[in-house]
Amino acid sequence: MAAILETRDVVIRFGGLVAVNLLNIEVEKGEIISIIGPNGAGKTTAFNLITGVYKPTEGVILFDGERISGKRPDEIAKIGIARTFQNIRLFKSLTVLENVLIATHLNIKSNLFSSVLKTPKARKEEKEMVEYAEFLLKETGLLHLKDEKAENLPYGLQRRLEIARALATKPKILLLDEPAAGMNPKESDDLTEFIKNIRDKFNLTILLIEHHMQLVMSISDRIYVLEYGITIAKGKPQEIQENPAVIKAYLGEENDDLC
Amino acid sequence: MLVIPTMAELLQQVCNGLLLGSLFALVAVGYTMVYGILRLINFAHCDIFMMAMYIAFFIVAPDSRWWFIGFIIVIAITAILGMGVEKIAYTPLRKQNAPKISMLISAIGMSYLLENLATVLFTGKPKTFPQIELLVGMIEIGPIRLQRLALVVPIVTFLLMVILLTLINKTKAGMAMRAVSKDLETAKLMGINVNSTISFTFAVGSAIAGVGAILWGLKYPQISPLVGVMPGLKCFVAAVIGGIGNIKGAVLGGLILGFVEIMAVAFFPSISAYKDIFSFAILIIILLFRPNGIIGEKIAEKV
Amino acid sequence: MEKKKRNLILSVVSILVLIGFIIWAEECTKAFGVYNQRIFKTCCIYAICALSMNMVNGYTGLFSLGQPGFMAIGAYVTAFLTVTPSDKIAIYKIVPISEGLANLNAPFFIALIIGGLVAAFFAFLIGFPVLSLKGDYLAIATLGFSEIIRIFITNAQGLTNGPTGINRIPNDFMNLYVLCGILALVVIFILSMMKTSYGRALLAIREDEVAAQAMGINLFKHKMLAFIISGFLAGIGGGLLASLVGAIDPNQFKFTVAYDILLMVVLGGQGSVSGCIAGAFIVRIALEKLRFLDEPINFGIFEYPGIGGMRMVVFSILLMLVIIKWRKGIFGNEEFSWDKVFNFFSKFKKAPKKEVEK
Repeated sequence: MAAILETRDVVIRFGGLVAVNLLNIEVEKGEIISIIGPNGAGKTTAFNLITGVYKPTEGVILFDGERISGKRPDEIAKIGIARTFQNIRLFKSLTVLENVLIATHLNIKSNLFSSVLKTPKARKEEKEMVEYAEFLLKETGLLHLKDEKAENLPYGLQRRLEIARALATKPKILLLDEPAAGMNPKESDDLTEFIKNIRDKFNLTILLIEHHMQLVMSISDRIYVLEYGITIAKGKPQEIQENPAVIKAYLGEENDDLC
Repeated sequence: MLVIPTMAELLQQVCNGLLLGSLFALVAVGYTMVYGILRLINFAHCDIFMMAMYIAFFIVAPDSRWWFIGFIIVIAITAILGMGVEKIAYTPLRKQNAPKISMLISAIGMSYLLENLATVLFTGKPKTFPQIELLVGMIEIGPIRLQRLALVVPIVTFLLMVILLTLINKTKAGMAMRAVSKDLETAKLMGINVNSTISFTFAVGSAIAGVGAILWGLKYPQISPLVGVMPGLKCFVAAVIGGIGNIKGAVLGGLILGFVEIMAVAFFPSISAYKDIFSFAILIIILLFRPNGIIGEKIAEKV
Repeated sequence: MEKKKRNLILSVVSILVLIGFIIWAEECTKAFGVYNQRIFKTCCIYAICALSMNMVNGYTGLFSLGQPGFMAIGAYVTAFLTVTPSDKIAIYKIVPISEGLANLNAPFFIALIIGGLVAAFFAFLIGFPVLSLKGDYLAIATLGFSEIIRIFITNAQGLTNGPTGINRIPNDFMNLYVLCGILALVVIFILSMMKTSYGRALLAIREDEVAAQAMGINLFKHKMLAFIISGFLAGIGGGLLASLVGAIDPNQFKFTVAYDILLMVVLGGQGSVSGCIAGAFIVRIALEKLRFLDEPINFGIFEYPGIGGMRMVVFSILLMLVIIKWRKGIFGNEEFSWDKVFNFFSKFKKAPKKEVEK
């Protein structure tokens, strides 16, 4: 099967620093792929490359066989790649419902004037947008909070809202940047179920960055391990757990006897 | 349209360009220093410049024999004024962790306040800056006739730039300034006294604006409450063109603007009425092709 | 539901009272006073200008200071098209106007809309180079463009009559019905636009540009949209101002006008229509009422000589105080609602009780 998302020898340099070097990721449709690695390994940079926030210095990124590197983030979102952010970037002073509605805007057909004049067509479209947003909020268990301001939500729910918002763009691939950050074991177990659930329900392919090993091991079909911008290992969870290079990266050379 | 000047005229214009460019550079340095440390356009900088001209008028005009000492006092008072502006307009907002846009509005408010205050204190009627014969007198070098200023200003600018770069790169205070401009929060955690560093930056920037104001006043002697506005806008533009936050960039930008303005008018006298818009036109062109200025560093936003 | 009913009744009543007041103010010139009438009219026009700035600064989170330029364009186009051909020939003394230009004429409302459209077109042109700039760079660039427009107007003698400006602008329609009517239309347009998906997209850009773009919002296209609408509204505001004042010259559109409008928006609350209107009225009325500071006052014991420009000093101190002490303005970024009024008053009622408990 052909990869839905593929990065080919992607390199990005910031001045003298090579943040990501020769990144080669292949993601097949329906997979859940994790990217792990120590802090500063270039994981979020990889996400920023895929979503167009940064342009690769070298290499290409392909989506469904088409080149997407060089496109703007909003174009890439339209093509079908949605993301969440490591440090939660909600539209804070807007309501939960508005946050999700904004993400449905990219597919809007009515123009400004018919929207302002509320033509029957525009009204119907707006109604459909609200219905879809409410459906997503229901799926993510946030419907009862829809009129709450996003900044007033507790941390865990803010992360959920980010996922709901990303889903509203009707993506084919969802990129989750540390979705379990700051969660307790129970919450991250729930999250595992939740991610699997949305994958099946929305027919998604999921790429995630995570430090929470239990979640990574139980959810991933395959794992890529990055260190200093270089892919040091890739494979199935079992293989990664036994890979000496990975153990070294995580625990350091000197600590072998401790394991 | 195009007027081809003679060689002598051209040399004369080069000197004029250098003079105007150096004046721009002196004011641009103040913008760039404040921007470097606070990421803020100090809209009030041009009014500190204007105030310095008035202060010079009141200190030096009554008895211009002691002009040198008078000018030093002017520069000192201007530095204090700059610190005062920072304490009144920016410190309270910085403490509230206010968004940048509030700081910018406060800057505009401060600028407006100084202009109106000047109108009330000194009336809108223009005053004439004291003319120091030693500096404004004419000299002849070969075919060209120049004011002595045309030599003095570039030299002063060059010396000040050297002193400033030494201050920033070689002294402890300069190190603190660089640290605060890289990352204010971290600098604070590392035990740098951020408030006094910022105060110091304003003092230095304003003192240089004071020097600029004195030299400007000698060249263009008319003082009015709005005298700082046009130079202020142009000098900010100069700082951006060079790469804001960068001292050398500000000087380079100032020189470019000065030259362009003088040369354009020299070659195309018919468009002299439009000379004030060249700087904005250049600004927009530069921002399109080099958003970080000619020698500015790229500042990537963290996502 | 009780609350909803109460709010509806209150809204209807206050709108009726407002309409009644406007009719009274317009019809009973003697009781209201010509001077007050004029202040009221100016307030309406500046409210439109404040709303124009709010579109970009309040809703989209950009920082533009280009209003004076767009106002100037609207004012000159409206003036040019409404002054009669014979008057135009009489006014253009230094550089005579060509006959073709002199004969260009349009009824007031069409001229006004053309003025708005020309301003919007200039906003569109300026938007290309400047809208990709961030924060304060945009502020300086728009300020620069505003000045460029003014310098062009000063120098394009054959078209604008240069520094002398245009006078004898007819003011047949400058009554409160027309001005309040236009303001109401603008308010309705903005409020309904902000309820559409496009309005939400602008808010998203204000809240977080990176996230908005990641959610598929084309930043440039939407910023441009806000910028063009803002230009149009400023053009309308300028056209009305020209017609109300009757004479315009380039100096009326200096960039300091942008500061005045900025104060209105900040004082009322960036991102709030009610705030902008309140801000415009407060600032304009304050500017008029502070005039006493420029004139001598006799306190009995001593006499205040009256200092020309004192009013502007007080005005700028107010601007500083507002931004330092009251950063979010009267309304913050929210709209007026009756619930808030009641909450506000109930807070006052409860406050003393708490003190007793202590």
